[in-house]
Amino acid sequence: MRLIVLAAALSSGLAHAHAVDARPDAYAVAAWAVLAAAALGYGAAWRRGAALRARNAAAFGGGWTALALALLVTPDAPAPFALHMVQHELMMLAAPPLLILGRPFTALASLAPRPLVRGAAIPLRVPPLAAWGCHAAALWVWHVPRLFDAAAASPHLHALQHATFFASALLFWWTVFRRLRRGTAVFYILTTFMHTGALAALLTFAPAALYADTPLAEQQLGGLIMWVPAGFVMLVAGLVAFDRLLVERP
Amino acid sequence: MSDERALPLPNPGPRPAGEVEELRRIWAAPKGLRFLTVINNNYIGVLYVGAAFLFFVLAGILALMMRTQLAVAENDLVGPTLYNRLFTMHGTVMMFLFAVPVVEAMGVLLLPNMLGARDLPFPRLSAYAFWAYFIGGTVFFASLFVGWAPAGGWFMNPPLTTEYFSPGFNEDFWLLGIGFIEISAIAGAIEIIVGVLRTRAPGMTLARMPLFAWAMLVFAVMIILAFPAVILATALLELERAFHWPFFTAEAGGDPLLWQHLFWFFGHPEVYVIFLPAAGMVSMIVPTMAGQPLAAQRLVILALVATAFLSFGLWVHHMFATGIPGISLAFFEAASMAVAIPSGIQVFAWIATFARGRVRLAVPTLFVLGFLFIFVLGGLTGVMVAAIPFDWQAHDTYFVVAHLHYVLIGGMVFPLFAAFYYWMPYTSRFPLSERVGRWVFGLLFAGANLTFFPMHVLGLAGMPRRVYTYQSGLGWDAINLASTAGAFVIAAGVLLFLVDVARRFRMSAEDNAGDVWGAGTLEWLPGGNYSNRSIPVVTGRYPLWEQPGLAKDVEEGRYYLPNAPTGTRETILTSPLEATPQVLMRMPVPGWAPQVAAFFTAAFFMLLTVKLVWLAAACGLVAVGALLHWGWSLDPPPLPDAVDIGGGIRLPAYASGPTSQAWWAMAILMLTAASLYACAIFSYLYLWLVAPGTWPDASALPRSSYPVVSAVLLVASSAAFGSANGSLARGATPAPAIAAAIVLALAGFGTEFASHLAVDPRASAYGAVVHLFVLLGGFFVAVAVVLAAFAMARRLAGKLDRVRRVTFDNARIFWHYVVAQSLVGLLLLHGFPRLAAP
Repeated sequence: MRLIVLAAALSSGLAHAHAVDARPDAYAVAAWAVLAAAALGYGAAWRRGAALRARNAAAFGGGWTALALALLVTPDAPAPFALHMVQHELMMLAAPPLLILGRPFTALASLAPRPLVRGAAIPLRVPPLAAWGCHAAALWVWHVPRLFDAAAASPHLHALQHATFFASALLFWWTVFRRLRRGTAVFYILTTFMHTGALAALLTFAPAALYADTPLAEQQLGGLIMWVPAGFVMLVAGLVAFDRLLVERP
Repeated sequence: MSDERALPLPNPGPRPAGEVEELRRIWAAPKGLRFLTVINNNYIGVLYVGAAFLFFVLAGILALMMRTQLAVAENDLVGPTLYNRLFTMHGTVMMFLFAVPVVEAMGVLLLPNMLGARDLPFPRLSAYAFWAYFIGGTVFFASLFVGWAPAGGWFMNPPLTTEYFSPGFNEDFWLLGIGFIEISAIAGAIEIIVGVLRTRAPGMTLARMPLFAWAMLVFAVMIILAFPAVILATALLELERAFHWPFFTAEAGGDPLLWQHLFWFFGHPEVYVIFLPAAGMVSMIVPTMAGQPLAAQRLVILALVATAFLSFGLWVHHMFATGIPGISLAFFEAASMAVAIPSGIQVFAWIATFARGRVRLAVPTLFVLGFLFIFVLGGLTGVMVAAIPFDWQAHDTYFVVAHLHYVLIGGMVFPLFAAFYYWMPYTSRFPLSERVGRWVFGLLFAGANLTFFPMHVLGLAGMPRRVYTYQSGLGWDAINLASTAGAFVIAAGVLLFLVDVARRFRMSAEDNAGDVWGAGTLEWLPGGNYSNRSIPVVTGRYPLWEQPGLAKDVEEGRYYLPNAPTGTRETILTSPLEATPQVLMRMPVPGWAPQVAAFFTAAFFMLLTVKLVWLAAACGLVAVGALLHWGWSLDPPPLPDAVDIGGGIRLPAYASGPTSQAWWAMAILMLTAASLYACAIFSYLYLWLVAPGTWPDASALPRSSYPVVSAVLLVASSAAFGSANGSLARGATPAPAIAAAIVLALAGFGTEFASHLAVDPRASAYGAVVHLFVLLGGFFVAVAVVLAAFAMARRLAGKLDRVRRVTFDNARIFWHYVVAQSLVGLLLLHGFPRLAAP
């Protein structure tokens, strides 16, 4: 549970990125606190000799850094759409898979009693198709212009937006990693690659600006970031997942 | 490998006499007129390849007519109208009636034997796909002789192809004909996916699967995901032409570019749908001819998958000249160039394999070398046109014609000829002549380069494509003449090939020429129509090389299933990743239903084209009747006892749920449906982006009680179906609950239908797209209702109970899918405009 709470608090803190005024708000403070706690906790687990390899720690560090970067990306109001997109991709595409590769539950197990660790994992036990659907819904629904503008205008909604982005992405990638051996991981990644590409195409080819304070070119750049570089990350993830199927197991 | 060989054989002892004769009798092809009902993959595969090659020759003749017209300046052999039809038909027939079907046909012909199965899992579906394609394709081609052939170019861009600019039946032939043939391609793709994933020989893990099977798997998945886009696009354009629903008419809020997005979302993967199987064939031929395992096999498989992935993101690079945002160009330029990486990996893997081994310079090798040369040149010009400044210069000139022919002839036709020569001994009593083959290769190679290389120069000299003639003195004359001469050299090569085929090809599965190349994969095992006498255990990528004595052990029945224990056609269903045996699948025997269904499906679409609506409807009904008759014979009664296939393995002879092949086919069909629906959602949002002004504000939308009521009814129908499932599991009758589900779903759809009655589909793109969703919703609900009623009828006939329940399960998962899809539609049609309205 702790991880989920951490994740939720952390992501909501990202709302700070678009805070209309310069005053650090409660969400940002919480987010940084959670990031610090996560780093300290992981470090403690590492020192206690949890079954973590160097590459797990490196992945976790990478995911942590991605989130921290997303926090530091603080576009001034009016938020440039493209920068915003980079921030969202850091939260959905970079941080979640890396954090999962860091084996957070193994780390947690060396710090917390077993029932607690099990409890924390319960929300992740959704069927893969449902996780896929949550991720897709979060992505598509928040890009409806009115909702996106509302989130940009209200720190609370913004926190909610980032929380759903991050949490649904965490769920999605968790499912993908769990399905690596069954081959369906490739299917979920490919279809996500396709529907994010479709959304990106709509943003790129819209003849008029859709969002408040966003010039058309900015919107096109945002769409392209979602389409090409983000698609490239999906492609690499898909190929890695696929490669797992080709390993000969005795 | 020697210790692997020491594994005990499943059936070591001598087999009782008469088993082979029984297999032969069970798998024999029907005789006389009933031969038309043949379904065995050996026969359907050969017929399929033959039909596709016929279309290749026909489309080639059209090309010769065009080249003759262009041989000299201001020629008057062919007028502009006929010329437009010629290039449209040439491109369309080559792409849709030759390239895609022929690789699918090679899959049908080769895959079962390559995988160690007795046949593909749905042989009647293959037969249906073949006959529908052959009849539909022939009628489509014949439109040329009565002046009804389409003339809008192979990609049919509106507004040229809207009714205003292209009246008459011509474009309708393209839209209905091609839309219909794509449906047959999807049927074949479902067959191939289930075949590759579920009927591999025990031990053939994914890593050990032959490259051609890999390529066909990727190919089929791409068809499943990409072809629905073109089916939807053709449906939209046909709705616009026939009923004036303005999807593509700008003044009513439509956008012709929507067509291009949908078409190229299909069209770009289509290029790889054609190329990847050809690459898979090359990856089979190269190791044999070099006597070496393929270099970097794992990388080559990853390259196939990477190409497929990339192809779904890159459709826009066919639209560089349509005025897309300038900022996007650099992104797509970079992404387009990335395609060179996976293609390069494969090319280098083939070269490395050749370099490591002792290459036998037989005719297949020559064609592979020719392929490498021509395809790499086509790839290089591809990198050139991926550079946008160059593309804008070369766009719509003969440079593009040269590029695409180098890619397609290099990337597809040459590998195909290599495959014809390579696999001929597999399907014929005699191999083709090596001596004649060298001439065929020489003529085709010289001809292709002579025809198409000068076209690069022509394009750079400014000659546009698709012109029926040109003036003298522009510096084009000599080049055109050379190109025309080249075309006739190609024709001579093809003719020589046909003569050799007529002389040497004698179809036979039983006493074929056999493994003349010393190849390493299972299709070269001796066998008959039943494929292999016994189904081997595979321990590596090249079983014939790695498991000495395999052919003899297989032939003497020492492996699995050396007989026909249930007395009918059978094969082993294995698990998708590790290929462990799961079920003994009993397979259908020949009957008329697939052929009748195929004929009347084709008749339905073709009569619709010429607006004979009532006759078309009658044919459609006959087709549905034949399909239902066919469906009635599915799901045979379970056998009480498990069947011994050898090695102490006893398999159940009946399966339902996710182990059964039927469940897999339905799951893949639902994926196709989802892809179609996703394309419709994309179209809705795209049209909104283009002309948000045609969308009503919230007050003009149907009252929100409509979608709420509709959603409640639909969810209730799903619940009712769920309770039917519970009844069936308890042994009670599911019929009342199914009936309730049907009533609820129809009411739910009726509510949604009624809510949009006030909107005129002809008035604006909004109206058109809303009614498109109503139409799609109605179609899916109708199909679900038919499946559900079918399950009820099975129950009444005593063919459905808690064990024998495949028809019910398929209806059930499709039902839940349709309800989920309809809910998404409700959210989009009623929720989105409320949120989006200013």
